[in-house]
Amino acid sequence: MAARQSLRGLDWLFFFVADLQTSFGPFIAVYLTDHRWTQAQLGLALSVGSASAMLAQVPAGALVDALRSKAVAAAVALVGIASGALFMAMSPTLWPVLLAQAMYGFAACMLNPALAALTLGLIGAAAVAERLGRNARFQAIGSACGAALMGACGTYVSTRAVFWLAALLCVPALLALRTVGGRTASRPAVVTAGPPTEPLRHVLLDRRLLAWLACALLFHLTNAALLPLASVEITKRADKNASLIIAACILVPQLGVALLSPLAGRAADRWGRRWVLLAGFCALPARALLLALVTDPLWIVPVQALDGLGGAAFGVMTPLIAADLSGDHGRFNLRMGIIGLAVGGAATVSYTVAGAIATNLGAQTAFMALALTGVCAVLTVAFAMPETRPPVPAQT
Amino acid sequence: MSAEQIAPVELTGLLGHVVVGDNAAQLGRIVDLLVDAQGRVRAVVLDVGGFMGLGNRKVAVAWSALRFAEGENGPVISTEIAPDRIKSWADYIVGRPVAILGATVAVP
Repeated sequence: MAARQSLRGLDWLFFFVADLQTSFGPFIAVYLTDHRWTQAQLGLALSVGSASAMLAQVPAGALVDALRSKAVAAAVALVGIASGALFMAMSPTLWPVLLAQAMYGFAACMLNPALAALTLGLIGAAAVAERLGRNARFQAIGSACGAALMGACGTYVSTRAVFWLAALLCVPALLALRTVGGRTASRPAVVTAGPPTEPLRHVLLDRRLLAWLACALLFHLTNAALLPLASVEITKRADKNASLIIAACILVPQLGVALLSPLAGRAADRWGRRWVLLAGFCALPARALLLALVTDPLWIVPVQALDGLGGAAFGVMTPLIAADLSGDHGRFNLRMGIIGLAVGGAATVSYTVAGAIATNLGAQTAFMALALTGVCAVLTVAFAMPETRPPVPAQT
Repeated sequence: MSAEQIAPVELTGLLGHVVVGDNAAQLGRIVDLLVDAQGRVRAVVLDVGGFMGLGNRKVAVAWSALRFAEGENGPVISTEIAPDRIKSWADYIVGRPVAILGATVAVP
């Protein structure tokens, strides 16, 4: 049984990491516009960010697998993110920003699998699903607090202060990481010490991983463009308080994820991963369809709340399925990296294609198209995704 | 040849400059200028709305619809066009026909 203090440390670790990560992302465009960047430079900086966040996934996953201490891997990643934020804050000029974007991309790709691996090393196999649910809960609370905090900071202090704050938040994150330390459970879910011996072919040719990749791809092909498109519609239609409504559209789903994630973890153990996935994935086409039908911007907020269901299912099942497939000596972080690459690629295509449909044929058509890919995602889970829950070991 | 010396508060760069509405509330920021072949500035591209970079839109607003005044920290740029009209105006997309908001007088 892992020490209580370590588990509490893990809560805070996920909270602070999600908190500080809200600064990178779409906000960078606001920051650089504020600092007189041209549209071409801005596009370059954003492309470097998304390219590094995608290209680094698989190498970063393999690196974390190879590192003996996942705590050290997480610490290195946190220092990388802090340095990226400092570069951004100190000098919003081309090269420091490009460097910061590349560093952040790589560090974030290391951090997410490292934190999940740290959890798996800390928790006995029987409690993994529930603990991953708890991680997702604290991550969601962190994201919500981060969006509120960074939003207020950007509005009332300065856009630059947001990045100073992000760098500062790495300090409590590192402190929380220290309390987690390198402890391990007596019978951990995944043996994290030492590089895994599983052959690469075994990872890449696993039919269950390929099925899950297809599900993850279709999920994010649908999901990624929904909030950005809905936000633009809010800006167009809301007479005032558009910014507040958009903020609510970011915060409300996070609260949903915080509420539902522990339930998703427990349900995955009781009824299996597939049922949780099906429930979460069904919310996706429903949300896209409702966004196509709703006209009053205020009603977009409750529709967005459905994102809490999908977010909880996807957020908890991703590390859980990767852990199921890896067993106790497998390449867990590599699998996380491969899934991350699929998610990143699908999100990029989602923005681009749905954005093009919205400008040419209207937002309603774009939402309908996304509802269609959402239905495909549900069907893929229903017919292609096998159950990955390991057989329950005989009670001794 | 002596260069003209101008105090910094008398001039400002336009890129990234805030445009305010009637009540001095921020409407958006100038992210580009549109000029014609005669060198006339026809419109500015404003980035409006959004929260934390989500939901921003780019719209073209006529240069003639902007008002300029002296301020403590340099020129203040404002417009009388209602915020609702700006936020719901057609998207500015590079390579597409541009709808300029507030272009009342056709340029000969």
